[in-house]
Amino acid sequence: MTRMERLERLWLAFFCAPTNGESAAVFRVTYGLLAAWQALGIWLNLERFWSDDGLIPYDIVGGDKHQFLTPFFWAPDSRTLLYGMAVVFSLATAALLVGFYPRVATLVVAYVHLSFQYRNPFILNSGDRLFMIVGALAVAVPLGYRFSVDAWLRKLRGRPPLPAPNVWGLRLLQLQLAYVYLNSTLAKLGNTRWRTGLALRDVLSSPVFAEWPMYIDFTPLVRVLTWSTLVFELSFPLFIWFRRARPWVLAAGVMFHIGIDTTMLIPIFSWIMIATCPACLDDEDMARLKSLLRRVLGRRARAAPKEPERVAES
Amino acid sequence: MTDASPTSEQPGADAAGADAGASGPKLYAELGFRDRMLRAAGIAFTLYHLAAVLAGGAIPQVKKVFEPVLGFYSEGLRMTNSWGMFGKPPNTTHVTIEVDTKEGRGLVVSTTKGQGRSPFERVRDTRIRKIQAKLSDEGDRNRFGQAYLDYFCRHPPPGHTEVRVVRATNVLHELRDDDGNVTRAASTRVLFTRRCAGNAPYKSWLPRPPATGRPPPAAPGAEGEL
Repeated sequence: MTRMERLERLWLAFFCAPTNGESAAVFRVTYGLLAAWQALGIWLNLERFWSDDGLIPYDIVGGDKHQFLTPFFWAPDSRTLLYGMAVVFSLATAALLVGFYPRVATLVVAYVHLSFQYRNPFILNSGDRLFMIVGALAVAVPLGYRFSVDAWLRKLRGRPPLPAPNVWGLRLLQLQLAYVYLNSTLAKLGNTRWRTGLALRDVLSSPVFAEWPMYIDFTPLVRVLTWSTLVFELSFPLFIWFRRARPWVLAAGVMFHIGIDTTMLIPIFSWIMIATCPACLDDEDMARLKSLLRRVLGRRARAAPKEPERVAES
Repeated sequence: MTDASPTSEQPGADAAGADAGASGPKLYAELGFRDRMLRAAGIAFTLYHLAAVLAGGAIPQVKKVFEPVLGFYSEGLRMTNSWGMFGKPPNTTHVTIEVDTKEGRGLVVSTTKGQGRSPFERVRDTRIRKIQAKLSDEGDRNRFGQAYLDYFCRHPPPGHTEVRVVRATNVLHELRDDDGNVTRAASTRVLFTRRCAGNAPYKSWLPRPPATGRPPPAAPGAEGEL
């Protein structure tokens, strides 16, 4: 085997391993739920944020050299277009959730979101950017292979099953997620406050970002919080690739982001990170997760009939 | 690109793999012409995307080098970003919008504060913090500040008929150093004001769109905040 061939086999093992599409389906649902949340935000603010009568008239953003990419460039005053975009976003979200042409749907979600980003770039945060990137990359994920209307229709029509998909799209999402943490860690390590372990004192005392702003006087606690953030953010891109460590890294990630969302006033970012976590699971992880859920649910089901007996005894 | 197409499940990389069973996907040399092209496209996109992601998160000097090749993908399609995430200590402050109407003075109609608001208001106004806090920056204020305040001229609060003056007020919170000493006392200051009636017809003040295009606003996260 030549060196080139070895390299190619490595590439194929990483990017082209087959998958049963279950983790892609779970990711589709979590991402779809987040898209539904975004759709709600769009409808509640359509006039205020994106119409020409809103906070930002088109003239202010019209000079951006990439505006031509969006329909707003061609009809900036059109209410029909504005509402049409919101309707298309909502329909694509519904299609994504149920798995009806989900790859087309995710592309539409990403494109309409991009258009809204161009129409009003001043309301955006990192979570919005990540939401759009993940949506665009999800085109390469076998979103409709399992647990979807597409799969159900295929079965109903008696068509043969599709050949097993591969993990290419999932890998792109995993790399994206890993890079977010790595880039974030490197940015933090460049700042003295993070290196000395005092950065979270600034963050948690900010009344703009903290849900309950407080100046933490107890420095060891601040250091533990700050450095554990760095340790987690550095661990994720290193250990997410190893099956034994993966469940722990993902569980830590979910807890980390729930913690951020509870204590801080930061929209969407934590949820897009959590919603992308299922894309990190492989087939064996999914099998273990299913068996765990079955055990938990089975235990509950066995425990359930005992309830009436207790009532009767009392 | 539909899910009904067999190759759509195997984008580029494993179009060959219809028979990819226990032996795994075929090597490039074993593929037919069409599958070779698909795999080459898949590999090329993957490498291009990863290069763009790495360059997109790098320092501006590095970004600039790759701009001719990756610029449209990174900034036009917005497929990359830097993820500072409080890499720099947060320095954002609250900004509130107050109006004087025919019926009353100093009514707060919009605030970046999230605390103490109803769940509905929090969901609806979750993005107000980002845009309104930008008014404390002179560049952003010059760019869209007057348009922003003009919106409140045109939309009086419920129960009010005519807005006369709109003010953006910066609420500076107290800052303390690591020894607990106050380094900045809490205070408020009026950032700028807009008179609604008479001398400011709608949009008359708007700048003409530049012929060459304006630079886009800084990417989210670039300043180290979310």
